[in-house]
Amino acid sequence: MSREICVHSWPCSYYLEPEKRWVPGKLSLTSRSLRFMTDKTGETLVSFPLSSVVEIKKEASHFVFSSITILENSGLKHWFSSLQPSRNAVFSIIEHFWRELLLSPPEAALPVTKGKQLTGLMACSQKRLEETARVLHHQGEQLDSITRGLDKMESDLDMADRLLTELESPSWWPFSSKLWKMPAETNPKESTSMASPKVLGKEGVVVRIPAVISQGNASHVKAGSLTILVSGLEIHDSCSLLMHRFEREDIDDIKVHTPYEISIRQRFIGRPDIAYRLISAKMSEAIPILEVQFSKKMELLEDALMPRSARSSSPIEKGCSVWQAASGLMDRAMPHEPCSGSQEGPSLQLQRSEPLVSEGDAQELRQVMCTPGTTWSLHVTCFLCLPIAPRWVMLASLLQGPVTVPPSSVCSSSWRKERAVPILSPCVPWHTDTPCAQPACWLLCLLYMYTCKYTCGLCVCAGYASSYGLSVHIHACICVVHVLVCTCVCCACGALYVL
Amino acid sequence: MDNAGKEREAVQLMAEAEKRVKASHSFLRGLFGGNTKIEEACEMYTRAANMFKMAKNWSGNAFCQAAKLHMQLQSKHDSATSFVDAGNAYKKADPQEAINCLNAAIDIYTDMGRFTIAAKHHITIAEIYETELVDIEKAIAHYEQSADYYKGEESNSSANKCLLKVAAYAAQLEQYQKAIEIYEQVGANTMDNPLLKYSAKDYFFKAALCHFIVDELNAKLALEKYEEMFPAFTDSRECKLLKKLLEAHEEQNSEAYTEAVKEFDSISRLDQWLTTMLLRIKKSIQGDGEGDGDLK
Repeated sequence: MSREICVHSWPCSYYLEPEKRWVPGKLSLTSRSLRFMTDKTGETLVSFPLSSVVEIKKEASHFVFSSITILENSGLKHWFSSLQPSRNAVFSIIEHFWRELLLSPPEAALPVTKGKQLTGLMACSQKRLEETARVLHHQGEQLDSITRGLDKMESDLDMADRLLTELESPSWWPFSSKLWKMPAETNPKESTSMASPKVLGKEGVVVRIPAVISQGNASHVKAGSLTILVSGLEIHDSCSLLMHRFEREDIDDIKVHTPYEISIRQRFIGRPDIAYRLISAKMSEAIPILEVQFSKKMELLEDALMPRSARSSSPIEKGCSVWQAASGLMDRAMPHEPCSGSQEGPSLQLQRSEPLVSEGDAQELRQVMCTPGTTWSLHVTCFLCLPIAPRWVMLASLLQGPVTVPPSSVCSSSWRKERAVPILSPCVPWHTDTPCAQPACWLLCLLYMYTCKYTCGLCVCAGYASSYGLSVHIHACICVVHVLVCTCVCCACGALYVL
Repeated sequence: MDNAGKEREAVQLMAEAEKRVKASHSFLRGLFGGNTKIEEACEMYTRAANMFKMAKNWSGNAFCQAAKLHMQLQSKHDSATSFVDAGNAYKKADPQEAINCLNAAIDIYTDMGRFTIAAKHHITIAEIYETELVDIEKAIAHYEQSADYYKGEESNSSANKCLLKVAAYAAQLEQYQKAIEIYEQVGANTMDNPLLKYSAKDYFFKAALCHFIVDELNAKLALEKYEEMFPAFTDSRECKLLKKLLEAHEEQNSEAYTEAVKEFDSISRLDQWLTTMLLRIKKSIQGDGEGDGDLK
């Protein structure tokens, strides 16, 4: 090796690993190898060919002294420090010779053409873009995980909130109605003002009744609650822990043993079924809703039928019973001020709106709807809004089974046909992409239209008809329920109705 | 001057904290409010640690003590955080101790199910092994562990990042099979992603290079496979380079090889990893050719 011409040599120091000290000396580079000689004894401490170099790096030893590290094939790392004149110069020279091993030109270098330069530029920017894409993707993933974390936090908060309310209610009261009412009463404002699907999911709670639960055929029973949601059923135990959740589609049958007892079953192939038997004093509240939600899957056993038939004989009365059950729900779903409260204005109006659909109205409605004519059936998902809007329950029960509404009969004149027909139909596309955005409000609007119609027989809620576009429409409806500023102008007489 | 003062104060705090811990061990204290003593001691240790930091004394001992006390108090999260702080302090002076602290933190985090954070600290440890202690094998192990955790948490891009590091080091340590597997896997994962498909060719290129070092024929087959899998690879400069290199290697033509590499390098500069790999391939040509002189 000594016959090779020394390219350059630099005074520097080398770190002796076994003795843990720095040795001053000289680093010399030939075209093929690198060598370090000590100053004192002149012995060669390190010598290795450049081709065995894996990596050359600029590093700092002890975070202060700039040095060069060279990683060898064998995994040995050499540290050179206190390089004279400067570390960067030495680094570039060593790296140059190392690369030159690979690229050493057999003859004179080719002149670099303009085209090549341009390609180089392109390649360079392409590489940068690739890196950018990678980083972007990484950041996207990070954002995803942040969202996940937020979700988790939110659910924890929910849990804490629930536990707190539980603590507030007296501990000896097993079926604390306060427990379930409190959240509904305390935060309806914020939950309804936000139109995010999340909040609506929470609102999807139709009814929650305390119940005694037994799983399968086991004789062991425990206290808990049954929650009917828009999307399914949930069974909780006494600590509000979710025991099981039935998705709407998953439920195979619901047997009504007595008006106070039901069993819910989900069948599996090759596995035992999941079945729960529930007994509750308030089951009569839930059964009509279940009947509407799972009409085909409901099975009424004799015991259940008997008192039912005794209770209601005519379909209208049956409808009313549902209506009553559901109007209880309505009270829960809507922000309700106590009547004796100081804010009489809106609450009074609200209450006045309740009896607007009287027995007579219902009957007339039924008459109108059941007139033979062109019929179309409302999408099943329409029932999503049933529970929150009890009028719909009534409507459904009036019409018996899947709702078929003859459009021609709703509106007799042609202009009203244009407007009145789509009032019912948008339910379909609207619900399928955002289930139950604000069904309560929407249906109220529908109702007001009828109300208006009955006032003078001609007018239609003008605000409603003109702002029929979906988003505007929903917005307007929110106003109807909560702010109560929906205005209807009578087209014929110009009278202004504030509902 | 000021630093010395801070350090003295910190030492005093440490001593006091130690006293409190001892006091909490006594029988009566143990009955009445031993925990508050420990809490106080904990706080003191943390304060002392921060003062050491200000004085630039990189001993993480105070943080370590605090972490242990937190553990006694059953606050796992605080304990883990303190261990990480200790690790950061030690990192500047005693890498091995830093690794121990971080490992303790990782144990706690995995126990709590916080795998993303655990993975992050595994990377930190791997980096310490990589730069300070130069124990590449251990660095690889930690990167792999981190990749596993990230995968479990569905953070695929972070997992890929770690795996690529593993592959690069594995190739450097001549464990080509491992490197090839990783590059192929990452390449296959990324080629369907609209954002990442542009870097897929890079991974295939690297996998093919690793094949090349092992065996020329393998490289040819692999290249065909990659072209089939990912048609865009055919048009890339990397693929063209590979074809030229294969040709040159077949003819044992060192000059043609150098020429091809040089042309590629003139457009986009080769990084160190590629240089190493290409050098290794070149050596196999020269080994037959001129019985070279640089292997002394």
